[in-house]
Amino acid sequence: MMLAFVILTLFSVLILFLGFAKQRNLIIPVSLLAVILAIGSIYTKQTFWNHYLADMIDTEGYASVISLLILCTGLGLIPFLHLFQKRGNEELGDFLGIFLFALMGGMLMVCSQNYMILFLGIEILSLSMYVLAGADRRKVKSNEASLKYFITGSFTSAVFLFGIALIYATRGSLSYLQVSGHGDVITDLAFIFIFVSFALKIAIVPFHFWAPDVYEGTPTLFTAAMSTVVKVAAFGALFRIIQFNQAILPVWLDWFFAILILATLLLGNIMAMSQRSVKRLLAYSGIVQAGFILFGFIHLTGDTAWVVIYYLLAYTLSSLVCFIIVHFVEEQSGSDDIDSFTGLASSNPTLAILMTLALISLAGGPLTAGFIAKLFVLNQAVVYGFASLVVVAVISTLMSVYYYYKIINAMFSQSADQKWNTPLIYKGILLIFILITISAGVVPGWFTLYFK
Amino acid sequence: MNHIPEIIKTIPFDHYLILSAALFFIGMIGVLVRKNIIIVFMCIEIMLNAVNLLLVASAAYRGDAAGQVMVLFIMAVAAAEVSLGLAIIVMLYKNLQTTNIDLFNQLKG
Repeated sequence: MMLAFVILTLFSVLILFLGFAKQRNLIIPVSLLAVILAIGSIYTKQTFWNHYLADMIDTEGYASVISLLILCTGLGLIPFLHLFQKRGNEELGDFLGIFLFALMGGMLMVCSQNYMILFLGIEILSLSMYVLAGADRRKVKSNEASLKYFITGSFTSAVFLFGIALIYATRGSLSYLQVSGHGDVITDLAFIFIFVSFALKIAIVPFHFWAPDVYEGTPTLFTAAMSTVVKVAAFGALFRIIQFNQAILPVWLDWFFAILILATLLLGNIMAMSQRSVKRLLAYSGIVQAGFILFGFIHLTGDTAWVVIYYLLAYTLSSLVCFIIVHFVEEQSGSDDIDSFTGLASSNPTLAILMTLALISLAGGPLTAGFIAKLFVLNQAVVYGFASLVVVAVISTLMSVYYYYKIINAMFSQSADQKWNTPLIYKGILLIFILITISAGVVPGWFTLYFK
Repeated sequence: MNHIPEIIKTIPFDHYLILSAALFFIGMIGVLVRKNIIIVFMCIEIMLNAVNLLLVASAAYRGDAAGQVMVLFIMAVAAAEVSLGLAIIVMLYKNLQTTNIDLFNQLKG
């Protein structure tokens, strides 16, 4: 699987050159080829590279499953990036090259076994994302989103690095594998820094303030990448830190997560209710979903990680579909306000139905992946004695139905005058996402078997 | 060159820890309080350098190279980060003609 990193890096450079050489028609096929080759190389076993990176990168087990999820997200998103060029952005090659770098950084994060590699992965992913956030460089909103993301992101990295430095000062090693002994005050402090930096990266209340602004300003297709690839990679890396450092983790860790979950579920939902912009609404919805994923981190061990991965899959699929449809609507009406969704069911019925199914999955409606995923994580919380939090979670789900229904209501309530259409291939890709969502909801066994 | 770790060790380790923590929090407060983006960037650099100081001191005390290698990585990444940040500021300045953070207020709600 180490080959996947090499393939992605080489192809990113190649695509940057293709953009430079004005070979625009080749850019999308070559990037798709790169991601497909990388996915294929996950299943190959090479030992050649392991010699050079002994104990730094681990590509077995969950690392490869989450990497596969990241790469498949990229594979699903790349065809849509073609639309970005049509809007007069000539720099498609640059953005696709950088997007492949982002995928590589995300994979590096979830495969890391050493804080040094983790740091490099975070930086490769974040630096790429700062550029993609500012992709619409003539729009002030996009510039501003890029700057806000950049400042919070580099602040986050500094906090994370201070945590690492404290761990290194007390433990004398940057590797996860040489963890021994018990925690002490400095180690607890270091883990506070590390977990706060991850909460900032994932956008969990009270560290969420940047997310709605950045999501709103970023070009919508890159918002889709930001809300899926970055969150999956950050959760994957957090999972690895917790898995390997069991011995020295603070004893109050479950309570720390419980407080974050409580704040996230309540405040995230309350803030989401008053939003008019659908992108901001989906940003808050992403914050709430991240709170639900944190349920899976209560008493996390290698045996229960599949719960988190299943939720990540369900969230990624629905979130991608929602943001891509927001992109189409935004192209058509020029704004992402909830009013521009009015009458979507009569002007473009396919998109309206797909969007409805994705929103139902986000809300946790039965027969979708979202429902089963919520069931799994809440079960986890009940088993480990946080039953009162589950009550909050159920109330929060009911609250979230309100704002998801607001969008569905807008789409189906009135009829619009004009009809507009989207190319068949894009509808097909969205349909595949929705079919996976539904099949994961109807027969979750297929997926959980693979994740275990 | 061999005796540089010994020179570093003439100062107790706690002092390095306290100094770097102080630098880190000065930088953190700067990021949260200052209004000019260039100053905010400098404060982030102060935070990163506080981390570097702590890593180098612990590496010298432990006689372990990993911390120093990490410092090299941090410096390289910080350079990339600053060049990207300055590019973003130039992009914003071309559109808005200012570097005051309070005027970047198009995104809210």
